Amino acid sequence: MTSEPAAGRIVPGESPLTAAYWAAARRGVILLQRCADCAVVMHPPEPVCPGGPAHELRWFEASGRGRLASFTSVEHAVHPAVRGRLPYLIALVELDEGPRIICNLAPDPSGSDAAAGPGPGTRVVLRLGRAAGGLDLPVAYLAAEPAADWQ
Amino acid sequence: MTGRRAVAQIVGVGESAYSRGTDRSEWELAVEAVTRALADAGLAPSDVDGLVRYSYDTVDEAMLVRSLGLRIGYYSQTGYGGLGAPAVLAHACAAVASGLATVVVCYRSLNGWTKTRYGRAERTLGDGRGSADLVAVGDRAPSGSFAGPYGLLSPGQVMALWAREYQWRAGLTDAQLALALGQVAISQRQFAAANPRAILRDKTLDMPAYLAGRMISAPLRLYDLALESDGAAAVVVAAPSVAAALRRPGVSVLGAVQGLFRYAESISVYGELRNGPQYRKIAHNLFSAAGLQPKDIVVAMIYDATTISVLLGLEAYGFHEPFEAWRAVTEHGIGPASPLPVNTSGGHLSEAYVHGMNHLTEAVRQCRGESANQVSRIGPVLVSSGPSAAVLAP
Repeated sequence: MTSEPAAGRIVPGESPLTAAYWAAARRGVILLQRCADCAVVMHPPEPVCPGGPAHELRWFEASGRGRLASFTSVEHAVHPAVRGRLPYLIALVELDEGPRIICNLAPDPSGSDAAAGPGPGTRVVLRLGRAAGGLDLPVAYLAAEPAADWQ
Repeated sequence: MTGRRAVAQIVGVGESAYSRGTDRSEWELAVEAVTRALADAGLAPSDVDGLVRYSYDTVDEAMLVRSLGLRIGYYSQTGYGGLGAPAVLAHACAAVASGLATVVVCYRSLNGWTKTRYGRAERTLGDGRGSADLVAVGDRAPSGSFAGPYGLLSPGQVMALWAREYQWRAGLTDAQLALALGQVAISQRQFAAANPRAILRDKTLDMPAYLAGRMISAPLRLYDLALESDGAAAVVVAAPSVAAALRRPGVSVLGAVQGLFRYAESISVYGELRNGPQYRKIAHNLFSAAGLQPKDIVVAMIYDATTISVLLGLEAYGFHEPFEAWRAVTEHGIGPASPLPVNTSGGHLSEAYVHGMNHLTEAVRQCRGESANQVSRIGPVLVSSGPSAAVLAP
């Protein structure tokens, strides 16, 4: 369909702060930071707890469960790297542990009511899948449970 | 905040022609916009002693100093892209109020059509030719490491997420959201029709045409998104003592805020939606400093990278309760006959995308009574971009 050369995958830039996160993410696991002193939970990772610079931030494995705060169906490619993947769904998931996280949303396998898309508070589970940028990372799948109370 | 008394006045505005396609560099366009703004003010380059620009601008201070022969004693930059439009006024007012400068030129030059396309991701990821992996850097959305690998690559896609969240929290159907957003696009296109500077002045838009626009990132369609365009705009801010000696009255900056709190940086997805309590607190403080209330505002220039930003801005700055603006906008639009005309130049959707600087020049013209879409009651004008905002008055 296109004569453009094949584009590479879109991969995350890693740093000492985020290396553990990405090592886990490539296995399909989400790591979050929790403060051992004030219990704040954060994503994306930060080097210092906002509750106090002497506090100790520790990684823990998130449940991978959450609810959709929003999603969009991308129907126009803004970069050659995703041109072959249209349309794809991007989800903003509110994890049960609190933080919001961006990932892709796997299409509803039932195909039912696909045009309408998922509704507010739809429960999702994150596990390893092919992300729109071509890497295998945690992506959201619709969970077989009723939508969370919304608002 | 600048306090209840205006510490500075805007005495000149100028812009280059706005176009989609130009053979002129951002440097040349910046010089033209600044030269026109100084001529508008009745000032010479030798009067300028300060410059404020966006950190994103490729035309740096030294380039303007050389081209215009400036000798300045103060310069500063605003960050986070479009948050800079009202923020440059905060910088200029601070410089003037402290005596660091007396005449400060604020400018933005952006060849967003021929050079740096903000609707695309090449500016952050590279062009993607070949098979090498593309590295998404930083922790911001869009395009950062936690967004880019999932194909969240453009501001419009982030704002599509805002729009869907707004729809859900307001309890709207797809059709209800589309009718509200469509009214924003249609009203601004009506304004553009009377504005000779507007790139889309000859392109009419009605609801069927809006709804027929192709879906870009659902629920946002083609006409929900800002233009990509080439152009530059500038304003001249002066101390009251300088302004008093000029041939016509300046426009007062009654208040300006360059706000930031957790996750309020531009186009963030991790914090509260942009009609949330922290944004409303910024608005409350700004109006208090200006000695005004939202009902006193006669025109609002609200940063419109997409239509949803207008609904969120109307709610953040106190014109409607959260998740209520859609109703009034659906019913009355934001056009000439609406209770509060918004983006009366056509805005980023229909005039040009100069990263908010063109909203400042229009706000000044409304305060002077010189807008192509002049409102009948000349009065205070709000200029806002997320957590940055300013109130201007004749």
